[in-house]
Amino acid sequence: MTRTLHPARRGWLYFGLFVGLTGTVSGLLWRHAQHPIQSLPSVLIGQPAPRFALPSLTDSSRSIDSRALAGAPYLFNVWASWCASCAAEQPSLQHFASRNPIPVIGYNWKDNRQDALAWLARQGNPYRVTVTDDQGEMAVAWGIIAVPETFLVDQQGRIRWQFRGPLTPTIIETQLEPALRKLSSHGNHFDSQDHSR
Amino acid sequence: MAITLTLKITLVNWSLLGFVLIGGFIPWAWAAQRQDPPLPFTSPQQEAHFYQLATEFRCLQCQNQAITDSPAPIAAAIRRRIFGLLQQGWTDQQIRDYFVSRYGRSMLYRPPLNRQTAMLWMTPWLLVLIASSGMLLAISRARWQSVRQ
Repeated sequence: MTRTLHPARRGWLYFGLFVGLTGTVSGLLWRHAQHPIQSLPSVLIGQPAPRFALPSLTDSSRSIDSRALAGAPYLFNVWASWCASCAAEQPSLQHFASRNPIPVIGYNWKDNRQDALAWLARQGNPYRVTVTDDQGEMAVAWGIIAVPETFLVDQQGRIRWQFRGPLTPTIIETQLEPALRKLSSHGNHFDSQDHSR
Repeated sequence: MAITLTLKITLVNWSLLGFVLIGGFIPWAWAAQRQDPPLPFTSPQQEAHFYQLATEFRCLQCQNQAITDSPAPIAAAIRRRIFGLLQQGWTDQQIRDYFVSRYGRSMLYRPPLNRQTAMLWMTPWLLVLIASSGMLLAISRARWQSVRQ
């Protein structure tokens, strides 16, 4: 004795299976589109910030060592004069720098020195200091994917927050400033001394 | 008259194409060259080893391209880093571990089999199992029905 489905019911069963499978695949693709790999948090969160010793943008004979930044939190912002999104985030970053005592360190990536200086003169300069890396290899140590990208490093030199893409007032208010408040509530204090640019 | 006009239009089209190619391609090629000078391989074996390893890495900026194919600025920096690490005598596994510690496992085209990636590795085999059991079931049922008739 066999239990066979009526052809009409079998048709509905196959239709249901087809719709279910298509729906699942579409759902997974949609989820992937909403959360691309670039939006995944950096694996370096909680890890020590990679050390660097790079020339200053304004004075290429002077090397800036990240060890000089130890002991106080800082914001590390990757930018380039050829990057349109970097120009878009500059007003937000300048507003942030004017409201917060935390130093903003610029990392000028794969750029031409003259172009970078002209860009800062045109767009405004929110950076306490800017380091340059024309070959761009140090970006690999920081797990950088593209410009702009921003990291918050705490007093112990660990990366606490990271954002890929241009900073907006909303991102600053809802993500960066709360992360910063969390640092200060954990006993981090800011170095408000004005380092020479 | 009509032939002269067609000739004129064709000439204008070709000139425009030439203008676009010269005006667009040459600065682009120059910029690409400036951004990414070729890696100084010393032997064909060294170059082959480099490409064998580098094609294992996905470019996270343009995800459907390997690090070796991507024109993204970060891909050029990563290629340079891989080359530098190989020069320093790092093993392939040490280099894979280095990039996973910076970019995560999603950078590897062939992620290792562990608890977190088990689903990824098992799903194709599970689908093959389901499809083949369905096929076997359909065949055996059809055969049984033909015997009964």
